[in-house]
Amino acid sequence: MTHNEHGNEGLQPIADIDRVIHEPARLLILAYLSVVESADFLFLERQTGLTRGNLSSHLSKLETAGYVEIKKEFVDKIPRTLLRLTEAGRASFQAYRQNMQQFFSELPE
Amino acid sequence: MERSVDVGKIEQKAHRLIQQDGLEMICYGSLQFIMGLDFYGITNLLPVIAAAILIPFALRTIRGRITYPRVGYAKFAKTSGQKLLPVFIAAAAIVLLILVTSGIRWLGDFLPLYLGGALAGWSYINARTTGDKIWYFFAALYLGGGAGIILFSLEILQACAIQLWMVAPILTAVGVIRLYRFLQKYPKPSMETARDSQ
Repeated sequence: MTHNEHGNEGLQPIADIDRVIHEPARLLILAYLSVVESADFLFLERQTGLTRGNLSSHLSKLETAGYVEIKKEFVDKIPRTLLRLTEAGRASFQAYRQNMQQFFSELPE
Repeated sequence: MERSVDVGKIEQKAHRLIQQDGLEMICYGSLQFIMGLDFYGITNLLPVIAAAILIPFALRTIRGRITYPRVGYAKFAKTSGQKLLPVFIAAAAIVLLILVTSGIRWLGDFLPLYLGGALAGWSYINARTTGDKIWYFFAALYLGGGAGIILFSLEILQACAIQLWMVAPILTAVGVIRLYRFLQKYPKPSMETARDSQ
């Protein structure tokens, strides 16, 4: 049964919310990646304040969803994990923002 | 952990994390000091061109050694203000060319004001990009300095040099203080990248 069958048309944006993105830590990761072309693991760790394990776990989920691309590279013989938002990730993040904005704008004062 | 998602603020915070090292202020403060030498006639244009070309490379190299191992690396897309910068520089160059070739002397008398305006514009772009309010102070300083120095009856190029030498040491000193604080805050390069659990 859909929201519309219950007469909840205004809740449609919430029904369309991407649950992979909706988790606060993942939302924050995507928000930071959306403002850069690419960033490394340490940069995201500093910006989000997440622990390394937590960040790593959320990044794996985002990679599985196809939202984040993870590349390993070496800089001065030190391995670096470079992260960037995929086109799908950018589009989904944009759609998430629009859905949330629409939902809150349709709520009565 | 922050929970609000204001992308504009997040972008500024991301820029600030890198720019808190003060290196950009040190580099561009030094460049302006060298520009002052040229205006004053101590050197010719060659050191200015060399510095202008080398400083971005030097900044990237030094950040690779000091900043990125401590706070991480990020490659930023150009902001709308930064995209306008080449147009801004080209416009300033055309205005200067017109001033030089026109022979209208009174237009040239306002050169410190144009220079102050151009540097204030650069400071304003930095302020908008990073959300760092000190750049508004520098914008005011450049513009105020440019307007103020005209009141003194100085030879015009010497006035430009003095104008640059007034602000460049302040910019560099703020950069040095920020670099010191940055190194205090992040004393050792993080080896986290080497032991990355990803």
